[in-house]
Amino acid sequence: MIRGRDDYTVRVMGPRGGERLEQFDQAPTRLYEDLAVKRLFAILLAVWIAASPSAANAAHVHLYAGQAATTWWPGIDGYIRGSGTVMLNPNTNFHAHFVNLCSGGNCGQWVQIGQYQGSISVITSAQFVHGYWENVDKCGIYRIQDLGRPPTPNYPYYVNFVGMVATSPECSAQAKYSFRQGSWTNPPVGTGYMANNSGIPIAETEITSDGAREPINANHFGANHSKQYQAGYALHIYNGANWLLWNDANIAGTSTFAQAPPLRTTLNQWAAFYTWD
Amino acid sequence: MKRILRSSAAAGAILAAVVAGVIAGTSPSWLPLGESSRTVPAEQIRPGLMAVELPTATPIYDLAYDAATDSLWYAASDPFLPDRLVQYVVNTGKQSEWVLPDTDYNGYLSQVKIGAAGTIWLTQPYRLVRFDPRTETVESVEYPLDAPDALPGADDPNHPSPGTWISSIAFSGDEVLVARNNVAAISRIGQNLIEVDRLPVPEAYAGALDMAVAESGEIFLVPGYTETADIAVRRVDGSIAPLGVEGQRLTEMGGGVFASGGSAGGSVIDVRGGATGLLPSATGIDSRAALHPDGGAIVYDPSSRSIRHVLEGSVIAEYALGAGDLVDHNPLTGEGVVATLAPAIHDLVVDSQGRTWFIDGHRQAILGLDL
Repeated sequence: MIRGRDDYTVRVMGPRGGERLEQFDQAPTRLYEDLAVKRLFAILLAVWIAASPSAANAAHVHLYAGQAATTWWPGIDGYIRGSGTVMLNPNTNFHAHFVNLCSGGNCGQWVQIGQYQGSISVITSAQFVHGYWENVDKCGIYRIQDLGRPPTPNYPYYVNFVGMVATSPECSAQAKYSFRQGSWTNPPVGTGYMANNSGIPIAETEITSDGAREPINANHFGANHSKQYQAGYALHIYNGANWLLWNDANIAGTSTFAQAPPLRTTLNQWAAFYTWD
Repeated sequence: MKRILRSSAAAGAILAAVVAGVIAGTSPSWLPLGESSRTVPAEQIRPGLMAVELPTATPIYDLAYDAATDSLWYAASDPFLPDRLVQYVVNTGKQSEWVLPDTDYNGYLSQVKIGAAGTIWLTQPYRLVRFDPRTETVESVEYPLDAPDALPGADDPNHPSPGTWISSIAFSGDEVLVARNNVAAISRIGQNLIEVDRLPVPEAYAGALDMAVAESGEIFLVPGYTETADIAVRRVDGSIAPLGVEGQRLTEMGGGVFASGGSAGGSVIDVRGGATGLLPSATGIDSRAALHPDGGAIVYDPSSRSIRHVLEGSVIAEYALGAGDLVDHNPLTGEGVVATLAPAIHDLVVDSQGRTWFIDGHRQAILGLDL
């Protein structure tokens, strides 16, 4: 996950030659469903920072809890239910809950889909949990897209390899991954790319905060609406021909990770778990 | 197939619910009850760059321009409020909205196209929708998952790209051609939304991501979502001829098509396979392009991170989208990863005055640009 600014320096060329430089550092007016809330938070944040004696020394916090396999696979899916929270600072912070495949040296490329709240680079949702997907490809190109509010809080997400494709003259052939959500009959909601046709499956909660850690409540992976393991909601790993339940019998070698907080609690081995404060 | 006719009375009832959402402060700028249109002026950002506010909480992916009415058309989806078809008249700023059949899909592979007599056609995953601006009537036909000519595994959730969702549409006279994922045939649909014929295609072109019809009646096909074949033309006799050019989107040009979005570059292709490059260099899979009234083209080039006006093989104007290097966190180790933010230019069109309108998926706005 990233923090960044959308800051454009414009080089505008006139017709038939000539150019001028313009600093373009203000985004066009846009109306999000929670824009008014975002502005209110900005005001409240300014007041909080002015009043807080520790604000000047606030550190960047990055924490995560989840699980990862140790072998490479071409797909991962599962239901995710990210809790909405009243965020401390949705303009600079986020918490996200996702399924992910990573490959390349030291997992430097990934395809990822799930739910978030807050601000991740150029996408933002201060008040509501939104779906999103994110990709870093083999040439270091970062793509991200907001998917809006999920129709139901607990919603299935899929990412899997679908074929090789030539992406650009500079980056040439890459493995193409389909991002999907909702019914398995739905078309993709986005496309990501990596060098390899498989990666390490990860299911994870991630928190990034400037200053105090953002609360995350409880966030469920592979569980039903009653926060219980249910096979049809579980996390699965794709082997290229079938979606296999994520367990030791199907996928040997899964490790967990968590910081205190956030914490991770198993509901059913690797097929379902939740993360919490 | 089920045909649905949605009346304006039903739409009014839905608008009442929309108003409630507006009052609750949970929706974007919907139209007030009883109003079907309003004036939305473009916001001047910089000289030559304007923005029009999108009435949606989620990004849109396809834009159509009708020169006859000087209008932009697009479909806006929302998981909690009715989906809408939106018309924006460029020179007046008048924006009108009509309620569409509901879908949970974000529109990433949906299409909006201008059909015969100014009708607006759009695709949802399993529904073809037609809007007649003269009568303000929305009609649609739904397609079941189970489809004739479906390839093996199309209805298997273990398939890497399952489903028989609509992948593209094109127009052949008064008929509409419909391609569906994992379906090895193109449906020919009459104006009554009933299928009149099916045109077989090989597996690589099942679910063609785009189509265009030449004056000869031959059909240009972009391969399906999981395929890597060249653009091909389906001859009248049903034979398939790959054209040696890669691309993602097609724009009809009388005797041929303008292909964009491929690693091989933007080319004008005729039905015999001749290709004339319009762009000075190859473009990537994320590229988008449209023809300009001056005979050139406007192209979003991901490699240079710019939108360019190309004429006679040369770039005569360019709008740079700027650099965006970021530090990301490796999801496995948490270590910092430097990456370059790619712009999200989902689509662009050029109006009859030569102004470029493009979707910036990161800003949820349609921007107008003079190049």
